[in-house]
Amino acid sequence: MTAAPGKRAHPGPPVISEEGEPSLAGLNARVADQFWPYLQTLEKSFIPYKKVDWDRRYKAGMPYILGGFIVFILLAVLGGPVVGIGLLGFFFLAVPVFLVVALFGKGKAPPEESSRTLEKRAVQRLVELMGFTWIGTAPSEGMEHERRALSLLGLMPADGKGVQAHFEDMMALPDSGTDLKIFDLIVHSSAEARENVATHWFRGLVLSFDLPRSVDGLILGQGRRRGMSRLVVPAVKPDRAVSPVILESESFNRAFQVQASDQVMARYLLTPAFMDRLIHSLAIHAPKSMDFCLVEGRFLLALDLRRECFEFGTGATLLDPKGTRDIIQEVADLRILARLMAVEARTRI
Amino acid sequence: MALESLSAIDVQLKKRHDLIPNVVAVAQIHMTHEKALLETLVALRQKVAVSYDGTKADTVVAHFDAEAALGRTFGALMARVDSHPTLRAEETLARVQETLEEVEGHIAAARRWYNASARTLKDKVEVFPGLLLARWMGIEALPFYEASDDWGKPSS
Repeated sequence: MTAAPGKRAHPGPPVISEEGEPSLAGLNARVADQFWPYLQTLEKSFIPYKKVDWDRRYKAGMPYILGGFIVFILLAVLGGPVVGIGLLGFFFLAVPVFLVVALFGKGKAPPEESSRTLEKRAVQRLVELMGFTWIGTAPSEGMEHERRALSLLGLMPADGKGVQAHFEDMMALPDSGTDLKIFDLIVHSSAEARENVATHWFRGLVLSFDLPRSVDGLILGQGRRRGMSRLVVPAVKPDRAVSPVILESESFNRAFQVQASDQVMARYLLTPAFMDRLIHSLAIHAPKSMDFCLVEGRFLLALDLRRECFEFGTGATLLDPKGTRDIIQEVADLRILARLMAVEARTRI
Repeated sequence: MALESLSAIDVQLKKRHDLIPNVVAVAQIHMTHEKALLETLVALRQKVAVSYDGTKADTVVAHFDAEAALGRTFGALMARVDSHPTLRAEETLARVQETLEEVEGHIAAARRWYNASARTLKDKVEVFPGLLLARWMGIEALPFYEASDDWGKPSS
């Protein structure tokens, strides 16, 4: 563990539950050795969004007061009554404008590189330490499966109308053979779209990957909503006939409503180990909702965490141990889920 | 529901049975001395293919027993195939093994569904007032389908 400079105590490496995940073994050590020092370097030029950059504001206001002063000097050179006008203009125009710009102007980002860019660089480094490839904002093409699955889960309308959906901070495992992606999803539904969706405001993580072998069928699993929204019945209208699936686990049946086009296939995928893991994930993250969908051989899991997971620099500092720990735990958990399903698909008995 | 899940098991079991002719066809060429075993296997396959009454516990038990016997015989054949140097390198048999593993996964899933349905049925027909209704209508509890993990695998 490396000590942080100054008064700030070093947050230390995050604690993650590895649970047999080989690719995450040693992550704690790597974070301590590589990520925290890197973050401390970035932190020097990081100005949090909420913190005012007085230097930038002062510089933005300077042209007004300098301009007023130059005009006053020019008028003073001319002499006569215009000197008084110049003096009044300087004190009652140039100085107030300078004060307004300096006190209330735009100045919440560092002059050379925005805080957001620094934050994204930090996230990218963390993601790469975790063995992923950083993609950032998802390309508009290639997300058709995800959009379809999300519409089947009632998280966005099938036609996409009336919603603002952002697929941000995408990380991928291109060499995994499963096209695994994890990304931040923000969906906000307008008033007219709200009749067709189960939630109006989704902010959380999405996991999406291909199953190792071609699996036919449609499986929808909707987690019971927490809070008041649990009273709302999700408006899911799948385009294929599905029937409820009652599984052996009472706790799983309490936590999820599962519908499937093929009862056998639903049980093929939802093995006892996988069901346990989903319940475990519910307990760890306590999301507003947790939904999953299998369609056209691709599995998607949407975790509504009510926050943008990769925006951890919105606090006062980039050195945010809780934000970092949360990211690692969430990503590790999703990775374990994906791996478990892939392994289960090969070895289930 | 129990009948539906039972038929789902049969669909998956049939996929497994359909693999047998491929193995037999290859084995007949190289293992003429195992003619008796191959004939037994073919006979057992025909036996499990016969339709049965899924509403009667004894016929379902008999069907599961026949399935287990077929599995044991197929396992014995696979053990001999595995020790046969020429057959072990056969591409057809490698494909059969691969498909068998996949089918086993589906059978396990179907078995979970069936056993859950059989448990629900058992609870209903053995507890009042369902007990009376089941006796009057002649509905019986169905047996659980036990896993046979060594199906088609060479015995060690």
